[in-house]
Amino acid sequence: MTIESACASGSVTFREAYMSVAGGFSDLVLAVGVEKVSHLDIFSATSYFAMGSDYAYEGRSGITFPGLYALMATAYLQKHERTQEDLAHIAVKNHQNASLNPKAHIQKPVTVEEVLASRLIAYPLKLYDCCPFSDGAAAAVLVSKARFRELGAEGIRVLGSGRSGMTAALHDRPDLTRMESARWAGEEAYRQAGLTPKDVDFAEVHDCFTIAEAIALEELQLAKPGEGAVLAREERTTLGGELPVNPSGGLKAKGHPVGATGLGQIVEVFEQLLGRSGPRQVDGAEIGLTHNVGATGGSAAVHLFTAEG
Amino acid sequence: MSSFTVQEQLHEAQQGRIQGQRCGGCGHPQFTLAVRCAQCGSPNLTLQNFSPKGTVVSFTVVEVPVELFRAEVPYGFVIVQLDDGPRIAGWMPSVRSAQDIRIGDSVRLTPSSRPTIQFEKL
Repeated sequence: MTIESACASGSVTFREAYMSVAGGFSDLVLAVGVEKVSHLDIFSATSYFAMGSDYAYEGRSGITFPGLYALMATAYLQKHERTQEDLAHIAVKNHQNASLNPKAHIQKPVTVEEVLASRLIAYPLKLYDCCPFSDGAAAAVLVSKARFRELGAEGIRVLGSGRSGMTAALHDRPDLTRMESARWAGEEAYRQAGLTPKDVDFAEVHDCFTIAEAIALEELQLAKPGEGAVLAREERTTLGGELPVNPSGGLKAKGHPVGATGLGQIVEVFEQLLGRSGPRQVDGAEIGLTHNVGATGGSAAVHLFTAEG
Repeated sequence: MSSFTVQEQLHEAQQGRIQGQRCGGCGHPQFTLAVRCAQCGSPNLTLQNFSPKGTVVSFTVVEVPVELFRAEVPYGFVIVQLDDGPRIAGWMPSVRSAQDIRIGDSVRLTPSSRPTIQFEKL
């Protein structure tokens, strides 16, 4: 079966596989995500990504994907009185984490000054606010509890699987600083798991742009409105912070191989929960969260995991 | 009503005229054509002309464009709250940098030589 849900395809594929196993229809499912975009030049790749927008009402008039998130960023920075420098700290954090990840696309640390001096892509977002176009693949094997015991393997358990959607069109949203689909998917996942945001030890969130990480943390109720943009600056979401966010380096620096991204987040959570993450290991990682969105929130999936066995 | 297509609506918008729907149930205006109101779900929608004037809700300035806009950069892109209608999105070629525009600016839909929704400053 092929699943298409824009940038959320990987986690939506995972969720389909999870529902098949949890529902008793299968006892073993392989979920695979893959992407190949590096053969495209920047204009072709930008055009390809813009297909994930509301093409008739927005894409056709010249918006790009960085532009859509830039529209959210402009509204957010003004409403919450935050700055491009606040966002730069998110990039710095995720590049730092990626420098410890041998599978990351960009393993080069950057400074706040370098982020701020990088070229504008779509005001207020600069080059280092944006994820790269990446090639990549990721996979997960989902098995029933009985099959898991038979195999005697190490693994992680799905505690909650939430999914939601909303309009992809920004002009149809009453508040550009919000992404309600992620809120709803998160609430569903928390409810299934019997957990609250306070229980989350670390999170892999969809930081296709720095502003996206800020909004994601707020919708997941891991930050108050306006706070998502400053947690990195305050070192609360760094590897040694109270809530490490994107220990893999995130889409921002680990990379964004679109079809693989959601599954790649789950691979990172798997390795973290089993204590296999080496120099980027999160201390005391017991509950991990993944958050993956497509079409600027038109599609959203949130999962909660813990180690099994 | 049902014969009015998105294509026709966008053609009108390219000429500088905004037509959308108004909900007979709750009064909600919407530009994205639908069979029901996005706010209350009522099927009681009527086609209406809206003022082409409005206020900038948010903006960006695109520096790295899609293929079809390579000759246009840099250009503004805005979300606009129409004075008596819905929000709509469009580009603003007169905006060349973030210095040229602010949230709250008054703008107006203008005829475009391209199949786009285009704004200019009031």
